[in-house]
Amino acid sequence: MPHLRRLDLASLFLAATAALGCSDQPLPPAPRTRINYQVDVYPILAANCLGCHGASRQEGGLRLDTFGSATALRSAGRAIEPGFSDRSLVMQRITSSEPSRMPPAPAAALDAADIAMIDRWITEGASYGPGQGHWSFAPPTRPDLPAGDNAVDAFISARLAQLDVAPSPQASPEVLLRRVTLDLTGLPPTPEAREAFLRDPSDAAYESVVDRLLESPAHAEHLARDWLDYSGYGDSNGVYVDDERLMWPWRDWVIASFRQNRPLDAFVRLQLAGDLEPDATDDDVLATAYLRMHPTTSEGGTDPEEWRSLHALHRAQTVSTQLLGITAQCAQCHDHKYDPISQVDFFSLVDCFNHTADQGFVDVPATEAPTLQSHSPLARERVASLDARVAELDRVLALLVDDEVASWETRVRTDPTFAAPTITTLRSERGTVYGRSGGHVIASGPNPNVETFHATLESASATRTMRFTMGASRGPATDLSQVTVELEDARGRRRVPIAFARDSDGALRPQWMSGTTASRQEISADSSIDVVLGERVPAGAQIHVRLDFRRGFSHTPASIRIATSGDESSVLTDAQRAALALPAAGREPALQTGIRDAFARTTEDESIRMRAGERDRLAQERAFLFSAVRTRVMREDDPSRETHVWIRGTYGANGARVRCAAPRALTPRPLAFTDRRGLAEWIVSASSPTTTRVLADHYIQFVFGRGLLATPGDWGIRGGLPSHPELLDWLAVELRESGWDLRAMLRMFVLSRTYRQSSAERPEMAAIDPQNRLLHRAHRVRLSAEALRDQALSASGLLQTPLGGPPSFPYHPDGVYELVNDSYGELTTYRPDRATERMHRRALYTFWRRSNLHPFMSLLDAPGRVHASARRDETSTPTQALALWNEPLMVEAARELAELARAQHPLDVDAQIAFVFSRALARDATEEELELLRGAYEDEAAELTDADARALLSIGESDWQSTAPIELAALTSVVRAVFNTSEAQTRE
Amino acid sequence: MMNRRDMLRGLAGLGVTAGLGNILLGSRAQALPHFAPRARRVIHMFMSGGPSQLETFDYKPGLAALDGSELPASVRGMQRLTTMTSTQGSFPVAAPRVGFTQHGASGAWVSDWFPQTGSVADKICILRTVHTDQINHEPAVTFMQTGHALAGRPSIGSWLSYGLESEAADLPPFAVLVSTSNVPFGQPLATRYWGSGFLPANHQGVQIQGGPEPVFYVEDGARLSQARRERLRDTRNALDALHAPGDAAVMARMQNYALATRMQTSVPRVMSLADEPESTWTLYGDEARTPGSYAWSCVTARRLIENDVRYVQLYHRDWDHHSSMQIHHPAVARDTDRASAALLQDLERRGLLDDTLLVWGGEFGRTVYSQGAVTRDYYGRDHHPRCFSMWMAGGGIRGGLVHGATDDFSYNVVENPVSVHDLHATMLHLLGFDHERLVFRSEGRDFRLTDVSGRVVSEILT
Repeated sequence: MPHLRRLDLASLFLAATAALGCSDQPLPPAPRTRINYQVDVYPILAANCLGCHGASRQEGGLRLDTFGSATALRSAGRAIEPGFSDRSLVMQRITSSEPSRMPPAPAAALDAADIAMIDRWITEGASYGPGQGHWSFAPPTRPDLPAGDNAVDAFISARLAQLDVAPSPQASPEVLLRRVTLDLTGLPPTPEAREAFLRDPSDAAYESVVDRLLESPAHAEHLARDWLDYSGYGDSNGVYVDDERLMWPWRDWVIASFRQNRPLDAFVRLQLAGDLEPDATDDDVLATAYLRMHPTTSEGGTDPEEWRSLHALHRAQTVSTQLLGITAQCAQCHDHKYDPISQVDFFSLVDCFNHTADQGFVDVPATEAPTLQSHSPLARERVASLDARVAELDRVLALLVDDEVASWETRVRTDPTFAAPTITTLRSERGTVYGRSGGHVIASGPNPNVETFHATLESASATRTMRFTMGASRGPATDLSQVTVELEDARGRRRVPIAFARDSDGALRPQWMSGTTASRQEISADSSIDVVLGERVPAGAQIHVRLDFRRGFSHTPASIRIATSGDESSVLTDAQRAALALPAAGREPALQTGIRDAFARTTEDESIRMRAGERDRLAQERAFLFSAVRTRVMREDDPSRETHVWIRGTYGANGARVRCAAPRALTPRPLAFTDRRGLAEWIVSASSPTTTRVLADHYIQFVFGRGLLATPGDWGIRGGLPSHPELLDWLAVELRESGWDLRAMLRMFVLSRTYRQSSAERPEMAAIDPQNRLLHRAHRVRLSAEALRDQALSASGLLQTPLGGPPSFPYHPDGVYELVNDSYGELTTYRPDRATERMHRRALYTFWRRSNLHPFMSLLDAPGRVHASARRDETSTPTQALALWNEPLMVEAARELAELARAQHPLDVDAQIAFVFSRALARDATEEELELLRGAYEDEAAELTDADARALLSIGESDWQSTAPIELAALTSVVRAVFNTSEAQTRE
Repeated sequence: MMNRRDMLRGLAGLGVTAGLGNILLGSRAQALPHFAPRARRVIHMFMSGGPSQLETFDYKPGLAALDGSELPASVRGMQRLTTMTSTQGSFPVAAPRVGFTQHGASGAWVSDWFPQTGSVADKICILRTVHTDQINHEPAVTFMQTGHALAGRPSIGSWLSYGLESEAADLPPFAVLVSTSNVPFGQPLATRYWGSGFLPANHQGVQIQGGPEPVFYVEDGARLSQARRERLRDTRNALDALHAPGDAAVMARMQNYALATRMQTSVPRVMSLADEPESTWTLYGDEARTPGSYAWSCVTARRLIENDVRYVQLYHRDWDHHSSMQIHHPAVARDTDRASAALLQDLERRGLLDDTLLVWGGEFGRTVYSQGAVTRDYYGRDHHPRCFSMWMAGGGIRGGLVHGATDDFSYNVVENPVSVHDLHATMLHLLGFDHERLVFRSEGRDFRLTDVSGRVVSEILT
């Protein structure tokens, strides 16, 4: 039974991972005649014998993993006598009974299959093969390519042909287009792309689709999303107080690298040692933030040196697991039980990362050193064009405005009259009790960390400016993060644009209009803010006002006085109005500019107003994007620092001193490095046996849904075996010889016929290849948390696509940050970006707080990323169903898509339903599906009340307008059902 | 063509009745548990921050005479200190500012700040010699929850979720309740403490909280009636059935959606205390009416296990008293004493205590010496890993027992040490698991909650 061993290994793996729901079944037997030491025998020896008779220990002077020692003549004979199992001492000992049996109790005896395998191997001559070790520790060589023009197809078909299995038919054009678009960009195809491909689904057209996708920025973002898991990227420190850290410029560097298809060797080398490159640029140094992803603590009582050492250990673990494919974490405490990775190997790797000036106790930001103050590479590209556009708008505005501003001035040269409006309703979201007295609101009751104040009011005259005067804070400080004004009249309810907001000093506060989190502002007690509306609200209209207070620690203001004015002069500050008394030429330039801008932002002349608004928006975007931040990077400071083995893995128990070197098992002879750069260069050199295999298989997994290796992250003895070792080695060599051209490799993958197969299950294959490890069809893959959000945003047209920049803070269940930490640091409350242009960005930009990940993300299997990870779980739970139904962003996207459908097909409900279906799933609905959804629509429309409809439609921050809320809500419900189908959640 | 009503009706026949736990857990290859359990569920009252053993259960009457005197260096030995007190010039002994009383037939000494816990002394087993490897909060809590000091391993609740078939039809097997903090400087928590580590993510603890949305996303915010929810879910499931009939993953997801809809009524039902009898409030106190309070969490924990949730973990964050011990400790004791004891009594009178394991304690203890000077009205205590007190009660635990002894300073264990691994091994044992055999392979290694050690503390078992 030559292949018994493989079956056993695989079924062991099955036992351990069945709960994953992605268990690995035995591979179908491959036709092979002779026993292969590396594949068949070495795992048995490693699991049972080599702990005492291997590289690290040789009990009785015997090593079983080298031919010389195993076959040497001893007093009692030979441990292994090639060709003669009955004379081999090993056979006698593994089959004898206690007490002479090997391995000795309490270890279990070898099972019959293992014994039979060793018996047969010795009988066949006990060949150790060329590598004498584990298959993945010998450098890959390029095997002969079987017939075929695509390497993937050649190897996959050859293997299937051995079993007389035909590949699956090709997927339909609709399925294929959605698959390749999701796989390469994390987004669904656009309706235009779909239409074009359905018109011409030829191979040539497919190729051009692929090329377009590979060139797209969305592709770079999607690859980056994966690399963030792979490197353990987070926007917070990871443990304890878990405050924000500013690592996102590195994330932008990753996106920029994938966009330019930076060769993977350089991509890896720079992340490991960019700071040590000759003439390193800022971007080269920025790349090394990769090695600063380890958690850092600010907990009092921490031993700084212990934690500093842990940082180095963390780096060594990440690099060994993610790039070398060996799990080194066991070797922290003892020599690896199965893999030939010793404690010395592990700590030698640690030494490569142990000469950096970081500190173990991160109390204040200054101690996050070493840092690099730099700009995101993506922001840098955009800033010049933003500046040019702002300058051009300024120039045009000056031309347009100068004539008119003088006559406007004569009209506004009076003091504005502010009057208290009638307040009709008052409400808070978090329990503060508001009492009213005219325009004066008094707060009492609970004083929560986060509060939102809602008021509905009616002004006796038209309203241009609203003034809110905050009474003394009820806590340490008040933090106003956003003001929203809505107008309700006969036409419905809609957001009123705010021309600008300013505080009592006259300073503009754009963040109050946009709710951007990065620029929250404290306001001191007893201060006023003026909110100048972009349009005049007529007298008698209902005005809905919302003020968000978010700080952490109780802080809502004790009172809020509301006043409104319709006077044009109210758009100016007191100082600006005083300046009007002087001739324009005699005014302070800043005041003069302020007057001009106030006019430009509020004038009836729409062309001026639009330009002023655009200029303000661009200026704000520039400030936001171009905030130069300090990112943690690597810098060598202490080459003489000594690294010692930690005896039994205990900090402070120093063993032998070690120096930066490659793990012994991976090199034919010892290989030491003078510094981290030496290690980096070796990792991407031809002499590192595992790097290209690990990366090639990772990108197989990225595209095909599963890697060739059953156990990503473990290329050692107990890891599974690759389903197609020859393909893997061919790709590993190809990756290197192509100049590490990732894009070319991905292109080859998705152009293969293997990739384009249908994913339909084939009953006749259930027994032969139940887990589809041979790729007899395409895998079905659950979309990632990020892709699920992005897909809904994209289908609804809400998606905002600027590249890079600070993280975004989308909707988030309330009170979660407070519950786990309302005492320490800056993140005692979550501050959502209420601005849709921030919240509706791609999900990879979501603020990644590692101790407290966004619930939507964690429920849908996104990792916390305290550690790097090679693959996500794919679970299926009821709490996921709740998240996909009820996450505000999903509901908002459903409503937005419903609005789009009603705008496209105003009178035709059937057409609306067909439209939303095809946008959501990138295919046309069948008659049955349409009928089903039409029924659901009618049921909803019949049962919905106007209030229920409005409750549904009001979820989310983006505006909606409809004169038929019930119909819009019914269609929204239909979209939610479609968004929640398995098909929407699956890449088929 | 199939009529839509028929289609929806046909869907009801798909048998969407499997328990939530079964869906969550999927199938497991190992036969578990290993032997007949003594307890079927656990409520772990976790006192985050580190309660002082000296002001709770480790009575040291001799300290009064030594108050303010220097702790003999021989007692400290080579003990590692936190950097908060390692630079202190002196280590003055601080005697507890609270009396102790013997309780019940067992005569166990309990601090007078915990009178209600004292009143159930005959029901609980006090462990005076628990010790840990870790001296700072984050690693010590991580160690207590996961058996390892560095982040990344599964929480004990996740291990049990993995090991036990869930019985609950419409609630998760592992629930976590964090009570609101009543003082500033409550210890920060990480959701990772109830994370599933390398176990599949469906074994992570489900956070349940007071307020309008007890479980994430259980509320739709859109005023959908249950009838509308069910109809829309049926529509959604029918689309699935049309597109991929018979597909196993799709069938599982249809069941998930059915269960999710059920949770939208079951969770509010379990979380609403409106049907609690008056005796509940008499027992737990009126504080239990305030959603999010510790007392409320205790009542809710009882309701969750009554609904077959297997592992409920309560977090109280306010136990880190480096200063003004004499003010803070009694305040936090008041916050928790009555409700903790009430929970035990409540379970007992409902016949649930026999097969419910109760565990009370923090991540480490506190030093006998003061952080800062000792005065009549002021002292503080630093973290102390070498010995601290916990209590256990219920399924399989001997009540009225005090286990282990420490030296005169409650600094070192004198007899019967209980390591965190021992504690875990014992908890697993009571639930029917051999801690050496509850393993999961990740990255080429078999992991277990107790790592490479752990001994079942059989002396405390009935």
